[in-house]
Amino acid sequence: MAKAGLAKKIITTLIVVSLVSVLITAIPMLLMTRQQFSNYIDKYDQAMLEQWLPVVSETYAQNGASGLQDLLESNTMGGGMGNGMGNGMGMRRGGVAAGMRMKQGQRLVVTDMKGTVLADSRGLLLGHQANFDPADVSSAPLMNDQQKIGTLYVISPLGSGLASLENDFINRLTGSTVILALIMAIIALIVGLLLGKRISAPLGDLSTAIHNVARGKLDQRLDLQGDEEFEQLGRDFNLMAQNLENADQNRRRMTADVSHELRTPLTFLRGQLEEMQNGNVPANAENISLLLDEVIRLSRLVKELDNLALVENHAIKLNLNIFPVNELLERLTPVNIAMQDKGINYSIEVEQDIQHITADLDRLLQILLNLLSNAMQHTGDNGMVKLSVRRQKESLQFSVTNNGPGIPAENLPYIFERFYRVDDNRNRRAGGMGLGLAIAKGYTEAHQGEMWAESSPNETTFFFTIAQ
Amino acid sequence: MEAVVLLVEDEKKLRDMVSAHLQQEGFIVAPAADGLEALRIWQEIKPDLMVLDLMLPKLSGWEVLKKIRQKDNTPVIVLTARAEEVDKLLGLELGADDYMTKPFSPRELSARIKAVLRRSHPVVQNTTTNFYNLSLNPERMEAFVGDVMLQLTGTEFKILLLLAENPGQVFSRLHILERVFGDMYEGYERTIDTHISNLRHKIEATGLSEVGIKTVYGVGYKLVMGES
Repeated sequence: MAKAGLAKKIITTLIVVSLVSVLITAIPMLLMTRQQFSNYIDKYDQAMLEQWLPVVSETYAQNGASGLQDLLESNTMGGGMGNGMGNGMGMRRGGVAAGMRMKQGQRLVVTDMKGTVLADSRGLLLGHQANFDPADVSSAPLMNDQQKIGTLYVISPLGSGLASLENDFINRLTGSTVILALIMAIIALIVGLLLGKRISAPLGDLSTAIHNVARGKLDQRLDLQGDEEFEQLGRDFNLMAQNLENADQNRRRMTADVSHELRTPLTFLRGQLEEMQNGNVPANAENISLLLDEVIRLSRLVKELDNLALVENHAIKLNLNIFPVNELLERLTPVNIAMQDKGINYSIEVEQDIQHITADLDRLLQILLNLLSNAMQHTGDNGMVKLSVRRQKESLQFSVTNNGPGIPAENLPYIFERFYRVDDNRNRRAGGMGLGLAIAKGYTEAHQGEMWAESSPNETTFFFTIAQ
Repeated sequence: MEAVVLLVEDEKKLRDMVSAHLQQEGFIVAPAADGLEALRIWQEIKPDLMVLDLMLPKLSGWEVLKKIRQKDNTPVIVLTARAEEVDKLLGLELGADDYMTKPFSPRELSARIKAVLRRSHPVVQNTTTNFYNLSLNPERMEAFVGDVMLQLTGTEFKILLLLAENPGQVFSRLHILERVFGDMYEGYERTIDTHISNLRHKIEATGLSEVGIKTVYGVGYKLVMGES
């Protein structure tokens, strides 16, 4: 339906536009033609008047009305078929001269002041009242000694002759305009059909693809051909579909990862409890303590998932405080002890002028613990881990460096993804759940900062900033 | 202490379990299963403290807390499922005294109850924990063996207090870590060994101790009578 609608509109528009343009061209053309014709006649008659006026005036003055009639008749009779043009030219050169001839069909009429016809080159109206339509004739007053004594009329044969010519011409013009309009309409129809198809076909594809995505077919991709806008639309659609697909895969993987993380401790708990139930394992304080540890870890996992959800929904509410650097370092004491136990060369470098930090202390601590634990696990032999804090313009930059074997470049982009582990076989206990970096990054971003990692084959550094 | 605790929790299994534990710890427990019942009992008995779950039928924990705060300052410890609500809970708007996120340890809950009660009745309570000639005062963070005061760090004091409050009870390193440092230090269990080692030195240095911290191989530590 939408398809037909759009195409129809395009065709209709094109036809209307073409017809309007034909009309807009044709109407002024017709008007101008008419104007040109009447201008031509006017000029012609005016020239005639100018030719005859002195002759007629003179004759009238000398011979009166009868002489005038003779003059007109004789001129009409003689050489009426002569070369008018030649005569005209001759006359113009010779000034007022006898022997002027009227053009074929041309008629001169002279009236007195009352409008009574004194002379008529065709003799028809003699003595009658002249009653001409000013549109058909040209006229000029006859003067004698500065006094108006009558009127000279030139009735051009061109008047009626040309009128029919003009009508002919205009009729032909109208005819060809109509034909032109029809041809234009047909062309518009064809172009419109093609254009409509060109526009509505990609839209149809898009519509189908959207329906598929809505029904859950997220692998739907488009290859829209044609105009730039459609190609752009296709690319945008594909991007959207790709993101949806990623999010969906992410969600599935998340669910799978979570249940995987739950499975091991639950299996252990169940197994141990069943053994205690049937008496194979004594239900003493020691064994129960082990079960309790498993439960503590499960609780921790639930909290981490909760934090992850907060991070991913950008719903972290920071509890910002200003605290001395030492307070932060003190709470990192367990790290110092753990590094010492493992024989790792652990150093902390805080720039002299940094005394206080503005941050959510618990969250900052969590970020550092995650990064330091990570560094501790990955440091090499003769292990080295270094924590540095530097002041930048409007933030603090923390960095945690270790001299471990480094993260392969192809893994680097993914390390901040939840449940991502470079080495999947790594000890779960030591490695945590693979949520640490994802949460740390989220916490950093909540502090208007950013986190990134740089790695070479024998050194890896995690950087992060927090706004101050 | 004969403190009366109003326990509001709609899940019967949890309510019974927590109730039993609190009674074990010497509290008088009045259970309530929903918000309306909670308000009714609260008016009737005026408990010393209220443990309030937020997700309740009939009247939510939020509403219950609001209504109570309009009348008085009964100490309230809130049980919540989500950490994000905490700011609002503890802020001026609702004024809860403390909170615990589920899943939680009943033992930690009773420790929090004691702490909140200590704060609300600072003078009346006798808060000293004793085990043989070891005595600990959480208010002043002071520990004595006989009449010799131990010079303990904050961490060491907290560990010793945890062990002394539950003498003979084995605590795993993770358990101690969680209770003393908070739950974000998972993976640093071994650091507890260092603190325990320091504690032992300080206790033994008095030469008077009747108690010792015993290592339970493969599990953790417990406070016992006699030498460690």
